[in-house]
Amino acid sequence: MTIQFPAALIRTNAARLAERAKWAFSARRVAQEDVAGLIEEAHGARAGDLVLARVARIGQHRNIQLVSGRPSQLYEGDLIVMPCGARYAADQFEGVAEIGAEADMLAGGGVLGRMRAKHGKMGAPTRVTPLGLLAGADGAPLNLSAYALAPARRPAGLSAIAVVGASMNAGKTATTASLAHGLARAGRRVAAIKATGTGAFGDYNAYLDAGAHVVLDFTDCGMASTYREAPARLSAALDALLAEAAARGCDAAVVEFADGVLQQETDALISDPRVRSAFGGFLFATGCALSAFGGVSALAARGIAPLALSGLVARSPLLAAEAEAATGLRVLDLDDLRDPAEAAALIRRAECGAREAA
Amino acid sequence: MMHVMEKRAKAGAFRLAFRKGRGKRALDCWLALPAEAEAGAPPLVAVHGIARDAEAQARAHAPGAAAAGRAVIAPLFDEARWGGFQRVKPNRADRALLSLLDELEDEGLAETRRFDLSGFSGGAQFGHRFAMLYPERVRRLTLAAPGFWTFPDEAPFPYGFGGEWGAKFASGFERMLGLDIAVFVGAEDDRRDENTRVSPGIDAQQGPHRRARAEAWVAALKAAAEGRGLPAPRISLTVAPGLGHDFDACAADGALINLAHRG
Repeated sequence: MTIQFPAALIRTNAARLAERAKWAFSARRVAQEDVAGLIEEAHGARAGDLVLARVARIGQHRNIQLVSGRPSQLYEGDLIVMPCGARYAADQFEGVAEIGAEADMLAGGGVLGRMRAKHGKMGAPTRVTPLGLLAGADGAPLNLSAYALAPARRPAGLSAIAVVGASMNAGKTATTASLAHGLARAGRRVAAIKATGTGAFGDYNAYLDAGAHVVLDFTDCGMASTYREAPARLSAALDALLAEAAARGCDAAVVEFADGVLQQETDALISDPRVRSAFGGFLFATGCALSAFGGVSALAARGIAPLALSGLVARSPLLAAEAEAATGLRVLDLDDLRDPAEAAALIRRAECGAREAA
Repeated sequence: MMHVMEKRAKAGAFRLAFRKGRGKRALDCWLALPAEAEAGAPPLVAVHGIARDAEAQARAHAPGAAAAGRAVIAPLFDEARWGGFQRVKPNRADRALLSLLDELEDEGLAETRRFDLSGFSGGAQFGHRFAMLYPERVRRLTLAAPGFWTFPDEAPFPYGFGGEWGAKFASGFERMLGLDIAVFVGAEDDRRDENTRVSPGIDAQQGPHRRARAEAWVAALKAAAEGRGLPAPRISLTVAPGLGHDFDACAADGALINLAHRG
């Protein structure tokens, strides 16, 4: 649906308000000087549109993750700028990219939308009162997509390993960061990339801290969240991210897919042979032996034979032994992944896998 | 933090410096730094044998390196902390060298992402195993008279690629075959001494002494490349007349040093 926004509703003091606001990390690519007005009607917001809002009630999220990479405590009355977006987080909120008279902070990093479900441990979301959508000089809403990397073909010469997992909090990010660290120590110029998920600086910073030379995520492709995005857009974004990594001199990439392999976007992507062909190998992060067994079976049904297991299961020698016996795969702990010799061997196995697939 | 004792060479083309490592597992090293560095020239990492004379390595290679505007990095694997360094695995001498190289690059002393690697005796043992683990880091490899080698076969590591650790070395082997490799051994390095590892198994696999073992390893690499359908490796074998197992003599002869600095 296309919403027509009367020019009269565009306020000239929007730039000043936006300047005073706390901008969410997921909007970090936006040139803030592009703000020229405010569209007071926010109901028609699309995913990625920038919402200027005032914090109405502090709930689950007490902080906003700022563009600068630090958290900022929220107070009622704070002005914030956050993109409209959906969220899929099995142990937090599920919500859609809809803005009403009030909106929910679905992620501190962040996205605003309408919560539909929450995990039992979660309180009510922090609520905001939208003042409107930030608009550019042309009067149209500013959207993250305008600041995205240009579409690009998947590069040659970049060796990539995908990290998928059983669920949220299975150890995928620690796996990705640790492998990136090991590869960097081995002398590879490595990119750490998050292909799907919800915009936030936690994983991004974890990759940076690990010594990845280039860190990218789907927000670089104009999406605050990948939940409910078309697989074709996500696939194209993956290519653009890999191309950006290669353009910035990387020869290796570790790419994390959010949530579990049964999550709809992750499932759609890894079930797509074209997406799979971007990777010479996969690591499967999981929390227990049974999910390792089930996950490896699920991956096999999608044409994937992981190189190894990782994640929380590696913290328990007993569970790791069960998982290795059940799957025939090695369980790599974080020290293994950070070991340059192990990391170099893994990426070479991935390179062999890519050559064989080709 | 640098903790350096410097010596200035008479010719002024390079300076020798001892760099003390900081930390329990930090390597000390000798450096030969050119007076005029050539941007982008890969340094030479020169690894000592069990005599552990890193300074001799730096001194011997300094003039040739300085002529090319590049640094010599001669790590010191001291006996107290790095027994068995030549086998890499027991104490992860590879990681110690990688850390040293990172630190030197951080300090602006050399660009260490890719380098030439040479080693004598135990240093050559270390060198070829390091190159199997990290072939991407190595441009040219010069291996002089190691006591024994890791062969591309199923023998247990460190003799072959058997076992979990052997698999790690095996994973980089094909890429290592693509490197420019020079093997050097004295023609008179053909007798067993107290440092020669001896067993029926190793004798059968590699031969009775360093010269035979060098010849066997070169042949094994060529056969492995052919068996895998890979291009013939760029590997040379120099058997130097009149030389035995003595680094100083090999260095004075010139052929080994020239080999390490081949263009």
